[in-house]
Amino acid sequence: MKIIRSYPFLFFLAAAMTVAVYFSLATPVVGNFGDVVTFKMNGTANSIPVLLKLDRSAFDTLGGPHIIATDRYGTRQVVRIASKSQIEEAGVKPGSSFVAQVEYIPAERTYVLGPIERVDPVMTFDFIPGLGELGRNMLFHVPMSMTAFLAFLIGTIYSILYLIKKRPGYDRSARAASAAGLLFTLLATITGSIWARFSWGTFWNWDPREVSIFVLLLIYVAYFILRSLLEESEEKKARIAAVYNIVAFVSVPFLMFVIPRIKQSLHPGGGGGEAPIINTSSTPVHTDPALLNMHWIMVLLFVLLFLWMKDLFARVLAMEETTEN
Amino acid sequence: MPSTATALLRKDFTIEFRTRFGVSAVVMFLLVTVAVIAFSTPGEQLSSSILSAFFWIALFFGGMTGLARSFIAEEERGTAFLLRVYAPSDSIFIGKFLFNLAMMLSLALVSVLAFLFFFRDFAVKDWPMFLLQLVLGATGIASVSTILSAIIGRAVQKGALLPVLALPVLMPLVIATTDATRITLEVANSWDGIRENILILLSFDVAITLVSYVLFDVIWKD
Amino acid sequence: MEFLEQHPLYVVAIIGSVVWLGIFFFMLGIERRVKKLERTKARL
Repeated sequence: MKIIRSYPFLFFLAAAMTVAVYFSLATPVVGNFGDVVTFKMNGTANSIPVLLKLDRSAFDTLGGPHIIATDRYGTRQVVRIASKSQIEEAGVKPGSSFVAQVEYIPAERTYVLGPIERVDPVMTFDFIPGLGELGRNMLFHVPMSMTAFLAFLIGTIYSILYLIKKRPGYDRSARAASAAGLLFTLLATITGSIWARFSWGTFWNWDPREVSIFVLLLIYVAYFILRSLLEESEEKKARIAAVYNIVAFVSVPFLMFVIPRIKQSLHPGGGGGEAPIINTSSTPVHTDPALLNMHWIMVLLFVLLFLWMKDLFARVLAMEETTEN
Repeated sequence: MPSTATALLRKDFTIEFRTRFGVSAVVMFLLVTVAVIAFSTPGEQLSSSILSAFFWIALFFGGMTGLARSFIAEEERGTAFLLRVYAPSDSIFIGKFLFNLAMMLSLALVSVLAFLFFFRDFAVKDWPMFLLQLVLGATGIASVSTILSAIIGRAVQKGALLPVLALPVLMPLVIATTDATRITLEVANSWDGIRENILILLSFDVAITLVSYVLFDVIWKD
Repeated sequence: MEFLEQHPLYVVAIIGSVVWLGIFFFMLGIERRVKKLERTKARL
């Protein structure tokens, strides 16, 4: 735990987290030629961003300037451009990839290149049908929920350790881990709820996972209420709270893993399907590797942030106890 | 079963038969709940999901009123100290748990009878499965409230605290058992529909009873 | 400025980074104060 406190490590964490937040939000979400057609036909959007690779430079035939470009699934298409300078001014050279809005004109069966948004992007996320830009929430909401579960697990382990070894430090760590877990649960609830407003239409609709996370919040709020209502010595308080923490943790796996998989749910993996939230197999929804890798980076960073938070909370609690004595 | 557990069980039953405090309070609570539901939905066709929710709300809060007393009464009468001296903690847990289980099962029986009598729509289609999930649900509530009432024996604001502590912990059980009750009210051959719920109930009951049994000693001794 | 108006996602990214750095420096402040208190405590 010493390394978590050292300033070089903390600045590394800050830098890594800033970069991760930047890439989570600024990485373009791109579709392919098929998505352009689908969106046009459904009337959802006139043009969407597509990651293109320029095959050859612009050429003037067939009544107007064109380029030949390949999308990320290797589909080659002729794309109409306004003029040769549109490509050249953006700095796109033959063989380089770029992100641009692409429109499909059904009557002429042609693709038209819109504004170029990015040349040689570091990373792109796959367009998820029905989610689009909203799919980014997977980089915040899911890692936060995972960290929350880890926090409660660690809190319970500290409670068990306290009951075995009776060292007050373990009790403070258990309290600190549960408090940080509560914070992460709250953040996961807020991000999920805002996301649900734009994806499902309402902030809250009692989906099984929403029930679970609500009950999870209640459990750990009850844990802190219980602690404040005990009128005993510090040692007995710690013992009784540790027992409640362990008893309560029995229901956490049921809430987080069992019930959301059995009940019909709007979340992925509900209704008896075997698919979990993150799915690397091809059916039914394949998670984009770039998004998935970014997701695990975010998990790692949130867990490091949690460890620091837990450490910090525990030390503040220790200082409080020293001043009280 | 240790003889001290049997003795404790007999003692609790004797007190209960003499005063009838727990039973009468719980039955009153149950009847008031049923009356309020019946009064607010006159002549309406109640769906099985609403009925199963009402049923478990009545059972859960009825149980909380009755079972909260198991250790608080000992603390209030000052007999908790004597119990600590005379009996090993595991037999106290077994005795109290069995007493709570008996209370919970009789409460379940009374509420089934009350619901059958007062609500025309409460027509159970699959009795064996209904009784199975009822017993499993009652066991879970009895086991959680045994350990938690031992915990709140030590806290201020004793009366209100048990539902606050117990409801979130029991939520997986309540979700599973409400769903199971709904299905047994709807389908005659319900095993396929409630299999997963029964598995949740069973594993939850076993896990929570074992954890409570192991941890009771920590709460009980000074 | 013109660039930011055309790319609102960068504005979101900047706000996200600022919020995150705010949390970080807030926690860093607590960390420093706790470290100071711990050192004082060790000397006593």
